[in-house]
Amino acid sequence: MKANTVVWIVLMMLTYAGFALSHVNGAGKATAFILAAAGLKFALVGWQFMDLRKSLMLWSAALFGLLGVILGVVAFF
Amino acid sequence: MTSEPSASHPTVPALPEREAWEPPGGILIWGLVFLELVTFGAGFGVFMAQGREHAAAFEQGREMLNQPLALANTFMLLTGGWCMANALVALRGNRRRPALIWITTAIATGLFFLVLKVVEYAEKFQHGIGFGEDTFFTLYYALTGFHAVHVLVAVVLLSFMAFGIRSGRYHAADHFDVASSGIFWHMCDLIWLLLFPILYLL
Repeated sequence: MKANTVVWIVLMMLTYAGFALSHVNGAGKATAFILAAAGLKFALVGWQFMDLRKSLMLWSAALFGLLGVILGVVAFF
Repeated sequence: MTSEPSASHPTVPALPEREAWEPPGGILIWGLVFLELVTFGAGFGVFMAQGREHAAAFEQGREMLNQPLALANTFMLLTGGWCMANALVALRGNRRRPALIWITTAIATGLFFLVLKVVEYAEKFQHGIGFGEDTFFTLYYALTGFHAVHVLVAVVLLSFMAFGIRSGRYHAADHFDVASSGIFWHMCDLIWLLLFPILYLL
């Protein structure tokens, strides 16, 4: 439960940081951070909350691979 | 192999051994997770492509969205995810009462999310911004509405699990359904973690 709590705190902080950055000038760097933060949060939820850390690497690779494709599409546009 | 007898379950039948290669919660729920992520991913792609074509309209539409409300919703879902993860930890440790408290709190966060979503939509409708307003809002309502339906289904699922934990149906030796339902719940988190920045922040 301690690990879950640490991850939750990190998730909340990353969320607020992305929100705050979206209001500053310099949209390019903010966009990169926002997308990177979204990817990191996605990975943390999958790894810790969804217990992927306890399963075969195949499943983590598949989920994070799909995440990479989605973020790649978003970043492309 | 049987579990230790309890007051409500004098003998618990042996559970089928889960395959070691299976992901947490089982292969079926993860099949659904991947299918939903691909579906929403396609939706995000369409949203971004349309955003490039109608840049001014999308920028204007984004400014009309309630970002603080969406931020609050993000906090709600993340907290719900934390609660659900803790519920499973407690259940595996055969601590049913803490598990029940955690899962009930997760349900509450889901309900709060849905209430905030209704408030957000009502705000738009009051300003006459409906589904067919323009491409931005059509996609906004479609993506967020589809996601909200998933959250509603997750709340219903978790409610069934809560009743099962309360009645003793689910416990340390038998909680596969709870784990699967948890995966569905976290899937709603995963989708929103992408939906929130793409629709509201970028």
